[in-house]
Amino acid sequence: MSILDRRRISSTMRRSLTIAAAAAIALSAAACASSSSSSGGTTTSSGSKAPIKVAQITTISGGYPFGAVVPGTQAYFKLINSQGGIDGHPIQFIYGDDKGTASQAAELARLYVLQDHVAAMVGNTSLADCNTNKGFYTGNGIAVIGGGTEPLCFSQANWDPVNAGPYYGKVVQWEYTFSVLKPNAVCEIEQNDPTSIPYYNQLRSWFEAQNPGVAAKFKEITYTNDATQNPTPAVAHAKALGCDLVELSTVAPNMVAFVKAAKAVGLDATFITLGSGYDTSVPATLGSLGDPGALGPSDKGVFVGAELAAVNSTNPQVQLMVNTFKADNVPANFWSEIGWVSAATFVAALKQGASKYDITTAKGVLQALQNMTPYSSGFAANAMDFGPSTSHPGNRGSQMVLIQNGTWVVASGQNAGDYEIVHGLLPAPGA
Amino acid sequence: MVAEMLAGLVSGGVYAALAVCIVLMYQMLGVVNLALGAMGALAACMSLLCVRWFGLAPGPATVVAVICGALIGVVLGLLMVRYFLEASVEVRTTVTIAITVGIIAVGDRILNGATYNFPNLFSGPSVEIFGTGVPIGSLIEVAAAVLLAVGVQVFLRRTHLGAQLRAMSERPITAGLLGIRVRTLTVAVWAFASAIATIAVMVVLPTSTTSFPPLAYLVIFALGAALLGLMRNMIVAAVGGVLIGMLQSIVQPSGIGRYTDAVPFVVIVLVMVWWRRSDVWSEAR
Repeated sequence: MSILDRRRISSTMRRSLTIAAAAAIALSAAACASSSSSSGGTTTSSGSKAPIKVAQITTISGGYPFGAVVPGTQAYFKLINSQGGIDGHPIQFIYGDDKGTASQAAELARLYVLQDHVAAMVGNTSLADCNTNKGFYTGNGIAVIGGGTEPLCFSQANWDPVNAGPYYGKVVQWEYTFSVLKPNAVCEIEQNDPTSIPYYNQLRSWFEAQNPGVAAKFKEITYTNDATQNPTPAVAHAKALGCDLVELSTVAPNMVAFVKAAKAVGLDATFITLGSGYDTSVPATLGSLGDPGALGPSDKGVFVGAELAAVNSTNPQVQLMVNTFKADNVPANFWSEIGWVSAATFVAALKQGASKYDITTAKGVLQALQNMTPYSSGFAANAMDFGPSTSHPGNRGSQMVLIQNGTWVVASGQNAGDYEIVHGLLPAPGA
Repeated sequence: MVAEMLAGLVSGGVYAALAVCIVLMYQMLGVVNLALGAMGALAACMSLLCVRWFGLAPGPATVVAVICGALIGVVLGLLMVRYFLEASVEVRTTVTIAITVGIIAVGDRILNGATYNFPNLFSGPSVEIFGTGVPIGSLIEVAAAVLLAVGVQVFLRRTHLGAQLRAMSERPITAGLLGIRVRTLTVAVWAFASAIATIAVMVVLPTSTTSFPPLAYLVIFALGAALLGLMRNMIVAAVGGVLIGMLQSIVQPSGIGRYTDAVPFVVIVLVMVWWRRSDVWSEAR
């Protein structure tokens, strides 16, 4: 082999290695950011009994990130561990980012259940988990408590959402809209989620049948990937249609973008968003733009149907969370609340069942949850109850809040004091 | 319809500016820079940090962001010059994909799902056109993108430095042997494109989501526009960017609105088919 040949091979190898290294570094960085499997809150200082292994699958990266669920869950488990765990059993918590993809959600569920042998899933909040892992949790006797985002989160035997979700939340939104805000024309801008769209349509038809006159007020229903698209076209369209109220189903950063875009195009309307839009940073971000009347005379404010209590609630359990979050530097928003309340409900059930069941096993945890007495979390219109049923519509209300003078305040006119609740059950998907 | 079309200027302006930079980099450096949106978004995040950490006013924060954008371009330009100067277009482009993934990871850490008030370059009132408010920043960006395209093309054709850049793009090694500072010029183009991308992203940020990946993926829509100019004509690319933005805006509220993201891909496929039509038809004959 000549010197030239050796140099050529060496040069080629160097280049290949460089490309591989660059790709590896970049992909490693991505993996770190999305933490496909990371342990957190694994404080084991308390108690000498066997730990209770708990996992969580959440969409942390992507257009609809729910990442704050993780530190919210961690904060509660850390608090419980510092108090000695559950009946002396410390809680070990691991979590993973499914990136909103079915493949990752399936992989993580199998990893945690079959390899790590977790006793339960707590705080799962994902766009893919319920649909992808339907049957898997039930088949393996794994209980899940988390944030429901799609119909199957609310209609599986072992899956219990602590939030009202986009369905009860949506009906609450409509009830409050038409009974209190009384707009002339409503434009709905919904999330482009294929698993939810048929159920949304079903619910709307059901609501319109129950409330004559409402159908005529729905001027437009659009489905948009608002996380990836500029909101300006949608609000410009709403203005062209003469809508004086815009309903959104989106997360806080997108809601803020819609309101700002409305100001830019001159849309004079009230905004009302599902609980996913609740975040303590929103009033400061919007500033005076969030106050009623900022967009014009038809603007009654920026409302959110907070599915869990507003963080300025005086309820001691809410304040415990707020203070713990402050100490742990956890953002206080809807998603971190879901993590906290999921963990709190889980712990409440296990404390009740610790003397009767082996709460370190999936079977014992499931039994404890199925036989729990309803737990008043202080965060919701209803007491939390897992129960033995095949579906779990526990939380059927939302607390309507609006921005006033730079903070969220509880809105007036709700049908159950500080909450607007749905009386009775919604029709099942496809019914 | 008119209202929706005008609303499309917001994103159209960004696509146009990014498309011009994509064509510029492809023509001069032989790289399809898929990291351009991520680079601009990351630099734009610096403006947010300047406001939050140092209490800078929007103007200075914007200047800092643009400087950061240029520096990001310098760093990546040096990386490309050092390791990939003689690599093929495919390899260089693949490297930009890796860079994109890396930057998104960092950006996701900065914008961690909360809401933010980004400095607004043009916070003044919107311009009322046909009953619809159009943000003044969008109009300026569209005009600036077209001017940028014209200016760069004139610069490349009429100036000595432009001639050097063209020589560098055609024969980098020969250009280097003739004394043209290939490495310096390459880094300069990276810095320039990155700074422009930063400005483009900053114009759209005040009325867009503050989730990082969608900002990084703006480049996909711009790529559709760049292909409209057949990766050669910057003016057509700029106009194409505006048209794609307007087309998306019209489609969004319609019955097929949920497929709006597919618009650039449809454009890309149509352009590719048109571009290669003679080859395909000749082969068929």
